[in-house]
Amino acid sequence: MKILNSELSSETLEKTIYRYVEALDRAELETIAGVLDLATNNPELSRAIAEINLAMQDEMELTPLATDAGIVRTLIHKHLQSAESGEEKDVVLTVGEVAAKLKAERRVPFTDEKVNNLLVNSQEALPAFLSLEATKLIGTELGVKASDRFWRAFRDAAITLSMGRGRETQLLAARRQRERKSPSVARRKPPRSKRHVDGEE
Amino acid sequence: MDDDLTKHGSHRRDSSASISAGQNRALLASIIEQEWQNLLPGIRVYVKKFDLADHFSTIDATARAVLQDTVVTALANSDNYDLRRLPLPWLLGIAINHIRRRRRDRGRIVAIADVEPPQKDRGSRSLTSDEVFDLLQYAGNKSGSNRYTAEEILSLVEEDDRKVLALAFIEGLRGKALAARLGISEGAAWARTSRSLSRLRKAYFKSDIGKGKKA
Repeated sequence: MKILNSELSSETLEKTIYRYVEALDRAELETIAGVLDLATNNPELSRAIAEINLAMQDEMELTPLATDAGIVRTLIHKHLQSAESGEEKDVVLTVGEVAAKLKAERRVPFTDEKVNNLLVNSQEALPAFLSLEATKLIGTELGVKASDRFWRAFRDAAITLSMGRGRETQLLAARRQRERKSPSVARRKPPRSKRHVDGEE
Repeated sequence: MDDDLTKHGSHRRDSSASISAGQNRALLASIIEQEWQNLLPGIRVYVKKFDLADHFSTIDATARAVLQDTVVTALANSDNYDLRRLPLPWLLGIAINHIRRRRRDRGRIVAIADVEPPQKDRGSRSLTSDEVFDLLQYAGNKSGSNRYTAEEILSLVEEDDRKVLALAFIEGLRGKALAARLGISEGAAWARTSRSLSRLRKAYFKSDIGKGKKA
């Protein structure tokens, strides 16, 4: 499909790129939004923005994690799956686990500590997609009240945990698949060191 | 749903488009899978720059949360996405809107220290970045009619900035070519040139050359 291309002169393009860098350095959100809007129609500007973001990420040492690809695939897969079938599979994360994480990381606001201690014991399962509204609804269903700050921290912790869980599930599935392909090899394979010694001697 | 979040770059598809809403959604999902490598670094940078988090672990967690919000919003509003538009800036625009919302929810204000104080009126206005660009561009063209040479203007800044700006505006190296000469990435080359221009703008404003250029 042909991309709409708003022609920018090389000078205008260059000035816009410099404006983007300057806006990032000065934390000017509206300027960045404006440049991004312009970039939706200009491949060169879009590419320069991607390059600059990567360079800034390196500069600020915001190292990407190796699990990023899996995270996005899991997100998309879960979202499409739940939207199309109305089902949510692999829901294993509980309210208690998230509350425990918050407590362990000391991220519970002082005023919400009692609420979090109550939630630590909850085995209530969390939905795969957790909007802030859905997070607050959990509180309502469990009959607890907490600050917005608490629910925001709760949601962030839940997302972090579920992403890690998604990665573990993927690894487990991959291992099962390998084992299904060669069950006899998997069962009969002797310890590597022993086999090595036998083969040589 | 979340219409305000996709307002940036939201372009409804042409009614004559033959692609169904479901196909549009599936295509967008596939595009997101391809673009995540460019999307997430941008979100991390925004989270850090807009002060939503300050430690790596919290920056990463917040960036992931914003990424999730962005993907969900994009897919939920896939009907609004015109496939002829470039996806990365559209998705980054949604991410920016989520960041804006988070900042608003937190009641944060822009860190005053990060904002350059307004220049005092000295009877002339300071140059904008675009004007400094034009000044160097024309001086670099060596047309002979310029009031100051590029070398004179570049003498206002330190060696590092002078080197970058001379390569860009006298030798005409930009983007990949400039990056190759400096031995850095293309993005880093754009960033360095922009920052060197910014420092030149400040130096020019304070200099005799700048005062001589009163409008």
